[in-house]
Amino acid sequence: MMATAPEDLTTLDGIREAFLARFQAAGIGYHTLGEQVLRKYFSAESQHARPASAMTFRNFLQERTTLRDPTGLLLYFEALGANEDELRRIRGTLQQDIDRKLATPAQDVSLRAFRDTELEDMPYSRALAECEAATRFEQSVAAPIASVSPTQYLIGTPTGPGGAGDSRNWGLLQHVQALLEFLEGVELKLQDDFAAVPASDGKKRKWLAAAGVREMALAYVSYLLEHPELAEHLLSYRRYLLQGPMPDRERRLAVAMMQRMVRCLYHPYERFAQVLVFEGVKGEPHRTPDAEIAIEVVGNRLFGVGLTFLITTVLGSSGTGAFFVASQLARREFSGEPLLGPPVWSDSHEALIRTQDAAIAQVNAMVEANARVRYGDIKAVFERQDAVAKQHHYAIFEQDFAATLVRDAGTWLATELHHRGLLSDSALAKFFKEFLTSAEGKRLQQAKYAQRQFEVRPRASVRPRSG
Amino acid sequence: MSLRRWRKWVQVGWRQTVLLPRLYLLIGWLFLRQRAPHRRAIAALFKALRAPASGASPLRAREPGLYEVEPWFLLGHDAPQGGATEANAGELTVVHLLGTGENIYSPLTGLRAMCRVDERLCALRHVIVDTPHDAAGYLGPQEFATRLRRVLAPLLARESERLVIVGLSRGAMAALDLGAELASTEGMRIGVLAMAPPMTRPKRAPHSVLNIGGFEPIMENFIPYLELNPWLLPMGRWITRDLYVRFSGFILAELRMVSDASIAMFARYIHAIDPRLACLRSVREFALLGRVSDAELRHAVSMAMQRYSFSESAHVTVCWGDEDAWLEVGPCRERLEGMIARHAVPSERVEVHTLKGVSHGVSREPAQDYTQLAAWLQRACEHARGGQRAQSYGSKMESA
Repeated sequence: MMATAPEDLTTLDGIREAFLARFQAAGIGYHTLGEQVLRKYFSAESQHARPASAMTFRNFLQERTTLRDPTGLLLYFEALGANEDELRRIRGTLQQDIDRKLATPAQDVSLRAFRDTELEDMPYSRALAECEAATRFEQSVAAPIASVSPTQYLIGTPTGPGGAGDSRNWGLLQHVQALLEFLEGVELKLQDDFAAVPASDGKKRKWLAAAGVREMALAYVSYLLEHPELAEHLLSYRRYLLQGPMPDRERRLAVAMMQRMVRCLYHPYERFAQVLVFEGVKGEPHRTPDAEIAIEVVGNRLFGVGLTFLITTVLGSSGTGAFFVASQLARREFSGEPLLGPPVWSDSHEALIRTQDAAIAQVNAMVEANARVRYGDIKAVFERQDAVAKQHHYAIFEQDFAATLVRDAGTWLATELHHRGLLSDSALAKFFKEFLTSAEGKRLQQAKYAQRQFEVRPRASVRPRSG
Repeated sequence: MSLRRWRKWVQVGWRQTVLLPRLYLLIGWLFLRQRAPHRRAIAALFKALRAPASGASPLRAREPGLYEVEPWFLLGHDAPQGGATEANAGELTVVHLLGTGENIYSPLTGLRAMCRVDERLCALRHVIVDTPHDAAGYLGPQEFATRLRRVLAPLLARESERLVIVGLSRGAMAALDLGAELASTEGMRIGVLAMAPPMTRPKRAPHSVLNIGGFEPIMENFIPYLELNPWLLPMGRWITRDLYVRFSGFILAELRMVSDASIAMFARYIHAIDPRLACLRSVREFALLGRVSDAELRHAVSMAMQRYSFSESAHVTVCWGDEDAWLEVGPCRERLEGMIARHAVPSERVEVHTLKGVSHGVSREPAQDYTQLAAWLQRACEHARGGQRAQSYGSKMESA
C-alpha cells in the first residue's frame, strides 16, 4: 500500500489541496455533497453553524472566493471525513487568514499618518495630533507614549485620567522629584545609622559605609523595578521628542533636579571613601576636587550596574527572553559543575526563564484555539507573568549584582583615587591587600543590612475610569 | 553592671584618657588666647547668667525646630499681661536661618532694630528655624542641608505660594540653596536675603572656628561618659555649661554681638537648654565648618545660581561686611559674580552688595546702621508678594 503524503492544514492552500483530493476520491458531485450537508444540518447531528451553499464551497476549493465568515464551510469538511482535530486546525487557519485580511486595510489607514515622508510634510501641530493616535495602546508599554511632545515628556499630562497624583500622568520632572525624595529618605536613614557610631569605632563605621553603598544601590534598582516609566523617561532616545521645541525652563530644571538626585545617590560612596579607602589619611581628602571627580566617576559606573541589570535581566527576560538567556549562557551551562567560586545559578534564574516560556506557550495556544481572542486576555497572561517575574528579578539582583557591589566600589574607587594622585602606590597596595584578601575585607564585601531600610510604593496597576 | 555596659565603660574611659593631651591643649588655647573683647563678652555672659531668666519669651514654639517671633517683641513693647498673645496674622512669612554657633534668640536683637527702621516688617510673620541637633546632620554640608529641609517641611506644607528666606553665614548658604529649590521646583515666589555667605574657604580659617571644632571628639566621648557615670552628671553639666559659655563668648565678641540685649538673649537660651546638648551641637557645628571644602562651597554656589538663572519667581540679595574677619570677602564676591556670569543669571535677579564697617555678624551688631538691611528685606518681601507663583513640578504634585 502506498503511503499518502501528510496533509498540511495550517495554510489555505494546504486545506484546498487536501479537500479537493478527498472530494475527487469520494466520486460525488457538489450538489450531492450539498444535499448530504443540509440533511446533516437539519437532522441536528452536528454542532456546526448553518452551512454555506455547495457552490460557495466549490468556489473556496477553486480559490475563487474570500470568505468573511468561514464557519459555513465546516460541515463540508466534516462530510468529507475531517475529524475533530483536523476541524480545529482548519478553523484556526481560516480565522487567522480572515483576521489578517480584515486587519490589513485598517492598519493601512491608521499607519498612513506615520509614514516618514507624510509625517515630515505635515505642520508640527498636525504631526503631534497624528501621533496622539498611538495613545490607545498606552497601557501596553511602560511609559505613556502619549508624551510625544517635548513639553509632555518633561511635565507629563497632569489633566489625564487619575489627575496629577497618578504617576502614569507624570513627566520626567515629577518622576525625578519623586525618586529624589525617595532616595533622600533612604540616605537620611543611612546617615543616622552612620552618625550613631562614634568615630573611634572604625570597624563598625566601615561596615555601615559598605552596607550603605549596597543599600542605596538596592533602593535605586527597586525603585526602577516598581516604576519602569522612570527608566523609560530617563533613557529615552528621541522616543518622546518629536523633534519639536523644548521648553527651556523645564529642561534646565530637569538638569538641576538630576544633579541633586545624582549627588544624593553618590553620598554613600563619599562615606565609603572616607572611612575605607582614606583610612588613616589626615585631613579631609575625600572633599577635594580630585576626590569629588573620582567619586563621580565611580558613581557613574555603579549607577550603570543598576541599568545593566535592568537591560540584561528585566528587559532581557521579557519579549523573546533572548538577551537574558544569552547573557547567562555560561552560568547556566556550568551551574551543575563543581565550582570554586560562589553559586551562579539559582532557582530564580531558572524560574524566570521557565515562567516566560510558559506564558508564551499559553498565549500561543490561546491564539491557536481562537485567533480572535481578546487582546485583554493575552495581556492578562503577560501581566501575571510579570508579577511573578518581579520577585525573581529581586533575587537575581541580590545574587548577581548586589553581592559584588561593595567589592566593585572599593576596587574602582581605590584605582581611580590612585590614578588621580590621591592615593600613593603603597597605600593602594595596602588597601587592595586588606580589602580583597583579609578576612575583615571579605566581611566588608558582604556587608548588608539584615532588613531593608526603605519601602517602594508600587504604582497602581489599574487606571481609574473617568466619570 | 552588665558585661556590655562594663565593656563600654572601659572603652569610653580609655578614649577619654587618650584624648586628654588634646583636651589640655585646647583648654590652654581657650584661656590663653582670650583677648580683651573675648574676656569682656565671657564676663558679661556669666554676669547675665547669674540672674534668672525674666519676662515672657519673645519666641513661641510652633513645630519641632520652628519658633515664631511674638509681635509685641517686634513692636518694641513689653509682653502683654496674662501671657496669652495672638500670633501675627501677617500674610507673608519670613524664615530666619541661623549661622554657625548661633541659637534661636540670636537674630532677635537685629530683627527688632530692622523693625524699628521699617515698621512694615513688624506686620510679617517671622519664624526662626533651629539648627538640627542630631549627629547625622553634621556629617557634611549636604547632610546638614537635607536635615534643615526636613525641619522646615511643616512650614513649607503651609506656605506654598510665597516665602522670604533670610540667613546669616551658613544660614545664608542654606537660604540660597533653599530659595533656589523652592522657586525652581515648586514655583514659589521667593525673596532671599543672604548675609555673609561663605562662598570660598578662607586660606586660613579663624582660630576660634578650628579650635572650638577641635573639641568635637572630646565632647562626643565625654557625653556618653557622663551617661555611664551618673554620679559625674552634676559636674558634667557644670563643665559643659562653662565650656559653652566660653565658646559663645568668643563667637559673640568676634561677631560683635556684645550689646546688653544680645547678651541677655544668649543667657535666656542657656537658661532654657540642657548645656550638654548645646555644647555638643556647638562643637559639631564648628567641626563641620572647619571640614567644609572649597570644592563643596563652589558646588553649592554653582548649583544655586544654575537654578536662579531660570527661576523668574525668585529675587536674591547677597551682602557681606567689609570688615569680615571670618571670610575673605573679595574671593567670595568674585566667585559669586563668576557663577552669575557663567549661568547667565539676569542681573536684576541677584543683587550683590558690600556693607561698610560691618563684620561677619551682619544684622547681629547692635551698633550697625540697619537702614540698608531693612530696605533689602522689604525689597525681598515686595518681590515675594508681587505676582503669581510659577508652575510647580515638586512634591506637591503627588499630594495634589
